[in-house]
Amino acid sequence: MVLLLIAWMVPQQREMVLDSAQFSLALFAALLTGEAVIFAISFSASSTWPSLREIDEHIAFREWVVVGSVASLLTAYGFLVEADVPATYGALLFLFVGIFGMFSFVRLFNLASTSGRKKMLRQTLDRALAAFTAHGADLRPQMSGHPVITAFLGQLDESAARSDSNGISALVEELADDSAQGRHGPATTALHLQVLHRIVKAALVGKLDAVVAASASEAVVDSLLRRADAVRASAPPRAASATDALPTAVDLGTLSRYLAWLANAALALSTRNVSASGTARELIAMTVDARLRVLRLVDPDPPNAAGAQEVGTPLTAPGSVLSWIWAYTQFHGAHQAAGMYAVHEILTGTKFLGNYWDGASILTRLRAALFDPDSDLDTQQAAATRVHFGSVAAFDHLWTLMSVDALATLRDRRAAHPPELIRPEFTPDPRLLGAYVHTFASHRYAANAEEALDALIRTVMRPPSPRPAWQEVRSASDAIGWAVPIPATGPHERLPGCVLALAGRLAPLAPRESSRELERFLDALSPSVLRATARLAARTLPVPSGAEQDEPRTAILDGLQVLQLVGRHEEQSG
Amino acid sequence: MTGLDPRYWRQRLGLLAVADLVDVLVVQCRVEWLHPRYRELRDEIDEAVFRLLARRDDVAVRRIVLHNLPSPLAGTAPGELATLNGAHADWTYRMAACATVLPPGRRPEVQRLIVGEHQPPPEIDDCLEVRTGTGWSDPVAAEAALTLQRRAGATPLTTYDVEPDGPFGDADPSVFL
Repeated sequence: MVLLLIAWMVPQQREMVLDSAQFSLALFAALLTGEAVIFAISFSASSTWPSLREIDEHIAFREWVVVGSVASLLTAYGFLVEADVPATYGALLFLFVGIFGMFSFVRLFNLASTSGRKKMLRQTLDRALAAFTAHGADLRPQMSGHPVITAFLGQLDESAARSDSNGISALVEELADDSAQGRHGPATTALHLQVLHRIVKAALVGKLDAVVAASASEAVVDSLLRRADAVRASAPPRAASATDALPTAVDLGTLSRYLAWLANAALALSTRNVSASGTARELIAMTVDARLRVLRLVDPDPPNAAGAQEVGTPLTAPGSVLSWIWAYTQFHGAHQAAGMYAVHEILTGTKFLGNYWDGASILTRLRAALFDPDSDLDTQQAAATRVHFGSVAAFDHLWTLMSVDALATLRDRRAAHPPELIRPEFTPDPRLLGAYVHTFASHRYAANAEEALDALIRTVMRPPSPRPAWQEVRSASDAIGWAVPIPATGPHERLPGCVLALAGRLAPLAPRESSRELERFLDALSPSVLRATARLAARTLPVPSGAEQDEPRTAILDGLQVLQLVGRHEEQSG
Repeated sequence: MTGLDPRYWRQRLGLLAVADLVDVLVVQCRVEWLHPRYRELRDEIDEAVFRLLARRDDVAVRRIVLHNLPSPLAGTAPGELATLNGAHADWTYRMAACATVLPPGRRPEVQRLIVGEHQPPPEIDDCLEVRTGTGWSDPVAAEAALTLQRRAGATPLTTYDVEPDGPFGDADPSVFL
């Protein structure tokens, strides 16, 4: 508008305007041609990532062309009606358009290089993710139709289908934010999980190369862990309010549960020759390693900590660490027995000094330390945990519910476990299975069959308490749970798991202990549920094949003997 | 509509401990039962009933609940009806699941009153009545409930909908891929 003023005050003659406009128009045409050439070389018309709209926003192409057109129209009009002011204004505008064009051209050159393009795409993705404000179950519809997200995922699918490793790594780099200053909301986690799942699925049942998939998925997991780590670094050392730590807990929990499921699914597909065993091997190795990293992140004092950056935990509140461990122990997840050490430390502020291979029970000690009248534990964390649970009945109920989900999702033992897929913490070793089951089975609060039956009724009828806290967990999980393909199932829908969870709590833990109460408990159940429980035991515990049909009760008793593989009584009796 | 009285219900639950108990009738047809603030009370009643059946096989328990919620439901916001229906489905499932766990001779008989479209909720007073050797604790209420249940359409709660093996994905997680 300054230009309009100048043109008004000092209109030029037609010849001078004409000469100036000719030069400017030539520059305009040259820049336009240059941009068209670069467009044609660097960007494909069919690509939606980056889409023309994003490029246009970055280089302000549309605005530039519009202003240039206005300038030329004004000049032409000025010549037509022999008015000097519009013609001069048009010529001046053309000068401005020339500068604008050079700026746009330089920006386009930046985009044509890979690093410039990555930067622009990362910013586009950041902006899109920051715009999602929905919570809970409303997030999914908001994210599903969004053009930027759809374009990104579409590009990912295309690169995966062509097994284009450069494409996939570029896309993952755009998503992962090295500086960890990007958005931390549920939308970011949901997108990470979706990307992870698509890469993994393309590797297992599609054509994506296994090594590319493994390194790309590691990068995605890394990015998620960095975000959680940023929360850890900023979390105060004492127990914070539950709502601060909850989104991180839900993120880490959903990720851990997904990784455990992935390992089992990869094993199953590999043994059925749907996936190559090399692919399964890579992915299983990735999941076991990633789960260990999650555990080290949550553990306030991991073994062999490399320094201050590994000490401390993002899950400082009892509700958040409980929601994390509930997800961490599902699907026969690796390192779950070790995860209980972190839980003990976060809930009580003290370390658990026993060893679960010796038969030491973290839950028993936790229960005694928190709720025994003569317990001398008075740390701040213990006080917060007691307030969270409210009563020992709520404590028992919650851990029973967790054990239902853990037991019901154990791996199928009847299928072969090929040697190339065996890794530490991912083996068919019955002793490791015994340790995982022992974690929950050693948590004893029912002295006899009647009390166990009461507990069973409570497990089926009641949700976990305190209810408002678990509603929040549910809402936070709903916000990102749809990004992984595993449905959320409650313990009450897993009746055999409920029975087995309580049966384990009556089963003998040492060779000479009596199984009478366990037998009485099983006898009090309906035949259909008893048979279903026997089927679960035959699938997940070491039971002679076929036994579950002939003698369901014996099958369950035999299967629960796996508990006796853990503990020192072996050496004492042997 | 006034809320439910927890004191009445907890006091009635004490009657379940009587030695010469023969019959128990529990009527819970008010929509308030599905609100979160009464969940704790509802769970207490359910647990007490099932515990009784687990301990004794000489008591017959009859429960009357709604099969479906009246639609439209007065005094509820649009989203609230979906939440109440969800709570109702969850409660019905849990009752069936818990019944599945107990042997066939120890299950409660649960009759569900069907509410037609655009019809008001059934006019029945919620109560918990017991019959001992000397008769019903409140014969009028018990008779009214049983008569209404016979007259209105009611369908029994069965255990067919409960999958005894649990979700399929537990046995084979690769189905979700």
